[in-house]
Amino acid sequence: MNKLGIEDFISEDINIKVEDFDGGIRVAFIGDIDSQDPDSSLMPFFDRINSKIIENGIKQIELDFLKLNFMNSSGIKVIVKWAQLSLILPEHKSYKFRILANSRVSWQVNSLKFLTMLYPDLIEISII
Amino acid sequence: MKLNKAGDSGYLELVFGPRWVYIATVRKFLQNFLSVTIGDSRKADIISMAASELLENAIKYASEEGTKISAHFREKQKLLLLSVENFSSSENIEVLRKQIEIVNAGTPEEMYLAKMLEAAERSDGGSQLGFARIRYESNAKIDLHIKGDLVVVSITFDLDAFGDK
Repeated sequence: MNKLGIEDFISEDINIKVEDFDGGIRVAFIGDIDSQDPDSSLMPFFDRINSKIIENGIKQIELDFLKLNFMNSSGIKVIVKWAQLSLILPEHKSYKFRILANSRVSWQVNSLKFLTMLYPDLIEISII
Repeated sequence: MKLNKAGDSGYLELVFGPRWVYIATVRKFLQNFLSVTIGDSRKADIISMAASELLENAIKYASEEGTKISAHFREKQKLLLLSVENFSSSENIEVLRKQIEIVNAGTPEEMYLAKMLEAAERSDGGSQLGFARIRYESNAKIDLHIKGDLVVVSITFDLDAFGDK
């Protein structure tokens, strides 16, 4: 179990693992996010991670998309909504995102990189 | 029924039932088909992403069973023509027409940025982000043809004009 005490999200298409790493929390996505309504399935999970991050004073979260094959535009919306949760926090409670993108997956290079243009002070990306 | 599409260098047409679960199957098949046909798996990824977004719209807003997807490769011109057809209500067709008009009006970057922020305000399952994403990732313009309640959304990908950003 990770230091936030949050269990992994497991569904037919997507597994999301929450892991500790030095200085923060890593959220690793494995599979596909292509359901009709990822907002209702994933947002409560991201809300819970957000609350625990604030509670534990964590400043950095790593979103690992290296094993995510596909994400539809409704999934991208959910990631933007999560980023906005940190954006509205007072500075002492806010945290930053580091995205790990897979250089061999075109949509990740294009659309995940675009998230850093949306919130350059909040999101950084490493394309591996 | 005419089976030979003379003049094309690779083509497929597929009609399938309206269930959401088929979208991933069609996307993966199309990705494989395009990788072989155009010989570039990265561009095949982007085109199959676009197909998936169009199919999501088609199935979400269909008024009748049946969605058709076509892909035609024109090797000499280095073009890939993708189209998705379905039947829809006049209300949904109007929403679609407006969305495509808005997304085609600005630059791909401007539209993707604006639509991402707009999508984040939505609390329903949809995002209305798909067309903006397609334009940004592929640099292609989206066309809409309406014949009664039949909707055809088509995209012509110039294979020399897009790739990783």
